[in-house]
Amino acid sequence: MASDLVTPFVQAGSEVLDQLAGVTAEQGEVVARTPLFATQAVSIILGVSGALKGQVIYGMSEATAAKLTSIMMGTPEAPFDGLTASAMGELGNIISGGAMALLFQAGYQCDLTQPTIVNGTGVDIATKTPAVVAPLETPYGRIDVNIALATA
Amino acid sequence: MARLLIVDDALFMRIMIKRALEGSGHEIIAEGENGRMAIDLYNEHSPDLLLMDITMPDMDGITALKELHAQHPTARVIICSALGQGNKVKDALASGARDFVVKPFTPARLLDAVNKALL
Repeated sequence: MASDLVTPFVQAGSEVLDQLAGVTAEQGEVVARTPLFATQAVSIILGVSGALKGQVIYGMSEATAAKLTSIMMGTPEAPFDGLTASAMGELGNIISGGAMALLFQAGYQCDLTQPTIVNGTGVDIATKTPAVVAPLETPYGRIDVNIALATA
Repeated sequence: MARLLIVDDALFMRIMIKRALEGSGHEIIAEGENGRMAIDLYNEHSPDLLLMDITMPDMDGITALKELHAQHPTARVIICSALGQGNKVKDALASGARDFVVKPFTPARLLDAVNKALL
């Protein structure tokens, strides 16, 4: 996958994590996923349509989701619940929205679906377009940005 | 003091919007989760201002904005969305939105947009 499709998600991810949670994220090595790949416990899945088609899947541990939700809400850490799912879904939505704005400037006019949030270990995901993963390392754990996009 | 309606499918974002407007003197009179609810709640409560997301289930915010303006041409609506690319902003403003607040926003940015839309 061309790096011009990966960079917007990494850039938006770093900026949004800083703005919403005051978290500094370091980008790890971008690597290709196998066609069927295991996610971390919490997956935030968004569909992309328009000039690009496919999915973006953000993966993190339950502990990372709990910590980020706690910071974003200004509340004590709590077990995974509907509010955690909503907060992480919105985090994925806002990062992806920022990436869509950058992709628009690069000539790709795209839309997003609402996020779907999955919580559970041992979940394997297959995407039609092979994914690459761009890890974002935060002080509260790694966020995997799985990007499976192809030009329409 | 104005009476505000908030429509966003994310509970987290509805909480953040309410917090941003806390202490502003405005009252949140109702909340909805999709474009259809936005129209129904607007007709039920006649708010002074509607704050609405774009990407929502059942009916998206731009479709709801167009339907609402067909029924209430003077309705004050602010779109509050993560989809801040130029075409979305143009579409929202051309459809009658008073402002377009891109997520993530600061409380000051949101309150400024609300107060200007109410003038």
